[in-house]
Amino acid sequence: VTEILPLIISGVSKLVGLIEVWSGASEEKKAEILAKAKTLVDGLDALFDADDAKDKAAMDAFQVQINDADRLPAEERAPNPNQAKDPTP
Amino acid sequence: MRHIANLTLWALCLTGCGDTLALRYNQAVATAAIMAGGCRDTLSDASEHQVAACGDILKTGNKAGAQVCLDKWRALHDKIGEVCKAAKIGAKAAFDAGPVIEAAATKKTDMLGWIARLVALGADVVKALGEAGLKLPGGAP
Repeated sequence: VTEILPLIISGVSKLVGLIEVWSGASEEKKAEILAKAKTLVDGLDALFDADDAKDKAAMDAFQVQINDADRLPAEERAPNPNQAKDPTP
Repeated sequence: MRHIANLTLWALCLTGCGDTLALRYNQAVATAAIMAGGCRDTLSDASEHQVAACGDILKTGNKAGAQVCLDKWRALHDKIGEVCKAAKIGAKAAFDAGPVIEAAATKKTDMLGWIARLVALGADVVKALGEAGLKLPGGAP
C-alpha cells in the first residue's frame, strides 16, 4: 500500500494538471494568440522583401568594388600578409 | 489501470482538447513565423559581416580572393535564404489553412499534422543556420 499510494496520488495530480491545461485556454487567450499569429505572419513579406533588397544591394555594391579594384589607389589598400616581401634592402 | 487512464484522457479530450489543440496550432503558427523572421534577420546580419570580411580581403589587393569570398557567401546566402523562405511560406500556409482545418471533420489529425510540419520547418531553419555557424537570436550555439 505504501508503494501504490504515492503512485495513485501522483497519477491523480497529473490528471488534475491536464484538466487545468485543457480548460485553461480561455477565449481571450485564444483570440490573443490568433491575433499575434496574424500580425507575425502578415509582417513576414515586408520583412523578407526589405532584407532581400538590403542584402542584394550590399553584395552588388561590393561586386562593383571588386570590378573596380584595379583602380583602387594604393594608399587605400591594406598590406597583404600573404604577399612575399621584397628581399632587396 | 492503464485502460482507465486512457479512457479518462479520451473523455477529457472529447470535452476540451480540440480547443486546446486549436490554441496550440495558432501558437505553432506564431512560433514558425518568428522562426522565419528570425532566420531572415539573422541571415541579413551575417551578410553584413560577411561582405565586410570579403571587403577586408579586397583591401589587401587580393581581388581574386575577394571574388571567391563573395561568390561563396552568395551561394550560402541563397541556400539559407531558401530555408527561411520555406519557413515563411509554411507559416503563412498554416495560418491560412486554420479556419478550413477548424471546420474539418478531421480537425485534430489535420492540426497535429500541420504542427508537425511547422516544427520540421523550424528544425530546418536551426540546422541551416547552424551549418553556417549562425544561430537565431537567443538560440543555443
